[in-house]
Amino acid sequence: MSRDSVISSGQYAWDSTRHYWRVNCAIVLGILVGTSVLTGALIVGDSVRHSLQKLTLERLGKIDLVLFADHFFAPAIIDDAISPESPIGQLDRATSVVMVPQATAERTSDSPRRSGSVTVLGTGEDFWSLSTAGRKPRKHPTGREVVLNQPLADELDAEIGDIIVIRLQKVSQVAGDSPLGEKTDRVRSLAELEVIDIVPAEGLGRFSLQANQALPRTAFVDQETVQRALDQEGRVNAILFSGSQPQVAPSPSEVSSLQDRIRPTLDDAGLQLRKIELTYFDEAQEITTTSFEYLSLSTDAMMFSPQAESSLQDALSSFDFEPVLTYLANDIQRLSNGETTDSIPYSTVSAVGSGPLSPLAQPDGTTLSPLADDEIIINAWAAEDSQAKIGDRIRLGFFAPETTHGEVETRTSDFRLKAIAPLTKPLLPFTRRQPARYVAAPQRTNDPDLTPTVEGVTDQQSIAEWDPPFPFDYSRIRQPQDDDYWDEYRTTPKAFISLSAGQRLWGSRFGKLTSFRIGIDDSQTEAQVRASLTAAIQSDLGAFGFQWLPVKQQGLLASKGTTPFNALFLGFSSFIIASAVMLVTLLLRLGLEQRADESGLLLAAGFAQRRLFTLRSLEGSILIIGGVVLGTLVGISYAHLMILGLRTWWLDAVVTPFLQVHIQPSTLLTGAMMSAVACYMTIRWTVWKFTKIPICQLLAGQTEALNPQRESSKRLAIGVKACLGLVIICSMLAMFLRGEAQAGAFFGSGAFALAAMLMRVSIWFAQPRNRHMNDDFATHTLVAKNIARHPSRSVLTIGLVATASFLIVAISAFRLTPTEQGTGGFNLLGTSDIALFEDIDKPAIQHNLLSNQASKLAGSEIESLRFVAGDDASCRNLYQAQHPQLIGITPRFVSRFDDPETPNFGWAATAAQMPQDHKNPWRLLAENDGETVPVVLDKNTAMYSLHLYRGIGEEFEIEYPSAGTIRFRVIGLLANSVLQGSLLVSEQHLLQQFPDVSGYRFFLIKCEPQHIDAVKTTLQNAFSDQGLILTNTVSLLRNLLAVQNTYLSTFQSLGGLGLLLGTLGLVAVQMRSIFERRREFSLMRAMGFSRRQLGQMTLMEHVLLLLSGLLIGIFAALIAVLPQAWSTDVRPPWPTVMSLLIVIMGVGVVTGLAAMRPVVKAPLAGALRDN
Amino acid sequence: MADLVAENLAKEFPTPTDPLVILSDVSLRLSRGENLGILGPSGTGKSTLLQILGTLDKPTSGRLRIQGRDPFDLNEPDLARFRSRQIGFVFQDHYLLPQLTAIENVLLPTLAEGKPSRSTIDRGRNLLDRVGLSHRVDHRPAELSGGERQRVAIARALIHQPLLVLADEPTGNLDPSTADSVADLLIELQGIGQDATMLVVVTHSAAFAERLQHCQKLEQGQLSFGGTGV
Repeated sequence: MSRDSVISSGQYAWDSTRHYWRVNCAIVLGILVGTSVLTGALIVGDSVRHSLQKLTLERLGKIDLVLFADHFFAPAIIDDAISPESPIGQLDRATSVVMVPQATAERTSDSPRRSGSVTVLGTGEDFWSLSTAGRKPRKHPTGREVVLNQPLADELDAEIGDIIVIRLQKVSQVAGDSPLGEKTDRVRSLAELEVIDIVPAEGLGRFSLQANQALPRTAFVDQETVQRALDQEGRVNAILFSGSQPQVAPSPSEVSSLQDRIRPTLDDAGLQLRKIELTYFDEAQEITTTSFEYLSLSTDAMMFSPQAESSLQDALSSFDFEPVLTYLANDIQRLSNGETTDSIPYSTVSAVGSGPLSPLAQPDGTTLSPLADDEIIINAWAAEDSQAKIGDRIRLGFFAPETTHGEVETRTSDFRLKAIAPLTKPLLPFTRRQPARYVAAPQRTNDPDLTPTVEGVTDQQSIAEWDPPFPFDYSRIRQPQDDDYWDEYRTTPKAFISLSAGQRLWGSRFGKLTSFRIGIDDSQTEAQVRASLTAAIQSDLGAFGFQWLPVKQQGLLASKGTTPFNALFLGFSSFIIASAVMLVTLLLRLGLEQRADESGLLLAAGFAQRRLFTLRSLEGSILIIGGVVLGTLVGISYAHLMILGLRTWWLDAVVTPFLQVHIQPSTLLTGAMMSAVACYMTIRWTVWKFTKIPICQLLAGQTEALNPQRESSKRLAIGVKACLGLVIICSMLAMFLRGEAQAGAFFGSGAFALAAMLMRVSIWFAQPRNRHMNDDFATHTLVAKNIARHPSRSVLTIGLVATASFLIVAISAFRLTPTEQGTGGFNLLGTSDIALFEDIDKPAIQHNLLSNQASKLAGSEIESLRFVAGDDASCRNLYQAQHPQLIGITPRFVSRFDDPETPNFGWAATAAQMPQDHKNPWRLLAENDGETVPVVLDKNTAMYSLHLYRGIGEEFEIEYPSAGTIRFRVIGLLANSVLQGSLLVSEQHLLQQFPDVSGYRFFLIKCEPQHIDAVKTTLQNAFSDQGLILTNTVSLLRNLLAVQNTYLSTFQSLGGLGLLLGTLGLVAVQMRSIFERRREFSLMRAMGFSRRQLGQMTLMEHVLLLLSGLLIGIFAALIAVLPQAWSTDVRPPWPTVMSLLIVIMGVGVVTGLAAMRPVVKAPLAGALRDN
Repeated sequence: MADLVAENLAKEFPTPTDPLVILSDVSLRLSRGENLGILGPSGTGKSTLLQILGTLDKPTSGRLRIQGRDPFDLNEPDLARFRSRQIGFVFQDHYLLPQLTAIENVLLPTLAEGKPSRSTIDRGRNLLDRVGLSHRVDHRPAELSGGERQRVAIARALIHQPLLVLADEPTGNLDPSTADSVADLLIELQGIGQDATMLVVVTHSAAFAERLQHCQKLEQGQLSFGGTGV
């Protein structure tokens, strides 16, 4: 092929690139490494996000939206059937299920196995058609059959054919913390369930509403079976709405249209609207006459929640109504001269208003009300029983409206008797099937329906049959009058007080009304009232315990993840990238040095420096294109390797091996572009520096300065002193710091020491040698002089190895191990699926519950805390927590730390200003500014999960489905604690925001270390029905810290890989250096040096550089690590680190040997002839 | 008996077609104190012959004996030691190590046998003195002139008091005046008597060749007596 007579720049560049193919191949290799690592890191980030997204879509299948309630309702809540024929946008199906997110499963056998936090799904067979992946069970469970997912089967060690029992929380709308709420009999069992299949944790086999990559434990049972067990036949607590596009969340308008189609009945909302008629048989006219009638609206929860009350008041605003609060009085006593007289036990008292519908209003239009807050009206029966007269002092004894640890507190309040309400005695008492029958008009105060339903009381035929949830002393029941009253009047209140007084005494977070009395007449009918109430419920479902869970939308949002893995792996791979850049610089420089005379010739021939610069840059661009294209392809393999690492060696960082490689063309392009730009800048900088060398020096093949630069040495000397000063400052600073800040200061001192040593090495190379030869002239002198021959090469070599080994060793300073400050001095931590109400810290209760086993808890301290389930916001959850779980810190827990001798959690920062708050920052949780909820959280939770970077004082909002938007204010950050993953607020604030929370589900236990296993076993066995699972805090904390430690290991491993690459690059440099010295070697062989001697000499040079780098790096790293190791119990993984460095040294030596072999083995005469 | 005996030396290099014959039948003899100049145009194998005499390269055929021994019978380490002790080289390019001073370059061959002794160092200084460089002992090659560098190279070749000194165009890169002084120095340092060395010089310089005892011309791979010399 003929060529133009005038060679173009491009042709020259191309020809030069080809001619010097050996060194250019090495440069392309360096670019390839940098590009592949960069692209690989970006692919890892994409893969994590994609895997989380895929996991979300798989675990939800076609399910887009869930209507979930804290109670059961009829599946017909959705008025028209949604079907593919009549879809709402993409939503075309509704599947009703019973979903119990917190249950306990136990395999019954000689060696039972138990598992907590089990999600129980009571479904029909159609549930499985919602799946988009994974295997469906071979047979849908019916009757006493159950299908387990693999993680649950593994935990129970269950196989097909095994028998298990599942324990669920009994459905009760009355809050457990109410004195009238059930506290003991709260568990229902699905016993003798036969495992008929085990499905893998894929697709709906992994179904969970929680956005967490950890494997959920799920049991699938027949819907009717679970409904029967919970006494909720025909009712469900969740409806799953699914669509035709599993990959896409429904639009807001589709969700809104769906919400419009929800038609809940009063029953679905747990409300009862009953027409109350008090009638009597008019014997004179022989007709049944209605004395009065009204509509009574009451709730299954006994009290309307504040939200429901507000919504209902609005709905009833166009009707006449009267709110009522009826409560239990343990005692009604007349006071005589300040002394109490005989008590009327267990009576109901109604707090009422003074409106026309008030029970105190008389048919004739007169009224006994209004009542002042210190006035009381008792009915005629009670007045007679207590011989009370108007004006007497009446004392009411009652339970406080909220209990703590299930212990009811009795209070009293005194009133002045304002009036005595008339009471009509029925002709016939109540029977099991019939209300009392009157022959005279009953009074409005004759109304037993003023009292809400209390299971075990109001539904009983006689007092003897009562099974009340509150402490009940049957011996106090007086015979016959109390039984007679029950027979004739049932729950008819014996006393009335003003509504405001009643709400002050008995109102609570659970509510302050028990019923509404709604008037009916021609203008307001029951149908109208019902319609109005239904509309109110539909428009405000949240107030009635319903939650819309946009699971797919939130899951996809959360799958963006907490940790930017692309940035993380870019950081981890930073040293490989840095190695590649340094190698490219080094190799490029070698290539330029090789052609120094050529460059000198071009300049001498009239090429401008700029022209030469352009030519060399053009050659560099050709190399970049080759390196980047190949590097992008290799980057895909690198990403596969990293993902393999995260699925195996570094599994602790992601908890479960769920990651899959996902490659996006845009990512490849981004990686390639970033790498190309970085390499181009590197090449231009190197070439620019090179073109500054004088022409005559280039012509002579000289590329190093002939004379040491004294000015440069002076500057370096100042740098050395400055760095040493910073070493001292950082070390002193470290003494006043703790935790990671201290590690950071030590790391800084090591880094400055490294910089000082490298600068000192540079000075050593630059300083004039003492030329006067002494008697020490020997081979080692020659070796030293050879090393000093190319100072910049040698400094770069030592710097590369030193920096890498420093990073690999010094990063160990940040390795974390469990500390007492991390566990707060507690030995066990656990949660229960079903709340405990007893104060299990009290020996008496322990004895009561555990009898002789209680002795095993001797000396233990048990802190029971409130708990709101939510997303795990610890670093073990890769999903972004949307609704982080909350822990309610009790006053007792706070006061525990008033004693400075008590081990406390380690604080990273607090908002404490006052001395007492500094001593015990937990006290700050009690602050109340009316707008924000003070919160303490682990620093890692704040930074990595919730992305709160401003620290103390930062305010942030989280919207909880059941509590709306809560604004939190950070008042404390815990350092590496076992409480990671939760928001810690005061119990008071928690209950204000989540009034439905009852009992205690979070436990911290301190005991003697040797008793940990015994305490754990004892408590878990005692509360197995509640699903109490305890974990050793040290192992739990170790698991949490393992994430960070694994990241450090990843960094160290990849750093080691980078160093290895750097070492191989150094070998290339060494080969180049040997090649340059062929003439020298030939001469020396001619003088009588053997091959072996020359080999030893060059190897010594190589090893000396490598060893210098390693020793400088390790020495600087020890400055960073040793003080940390001495002052804490952090122990760097010396064996691993040292093995890594030894391997690197070994590889360096072996490859160094291999590199010099061909040159040293070259025929002597040929080498001389080449010269 | 001659100390250096070369008999029928031949050297061929394989090529894709026929072997390339560089030397076909070269014989020569030399004793202590004698010197020999080899003349000839470029490419006739002068340097190849010198490399064979210096044991740097093996002949394809023929025998080489130095003081009655065939050096090619030695293994590589022994041959290297032999070369270190018995042979000194002076090249057209001085081949000084740029990182070493003049005295260090002179002593460089002694490192092949370990650390130089005090007496060796003194000898090195003495040699530099004899080549007129006592004032340049601690200078590096870059700080020396061409003639000075070559004189350092000569001193280096003599550090072990070798039996044979081989000089390949030692004055090729020097101006006539400097070349003369270097030529004189080589012959002067060859010495006389029991300690004298043999000197073989490959040169294009007729003036240099004229000063040598023997002179042969290498043409078509064979030696023939030239018109100059003793």
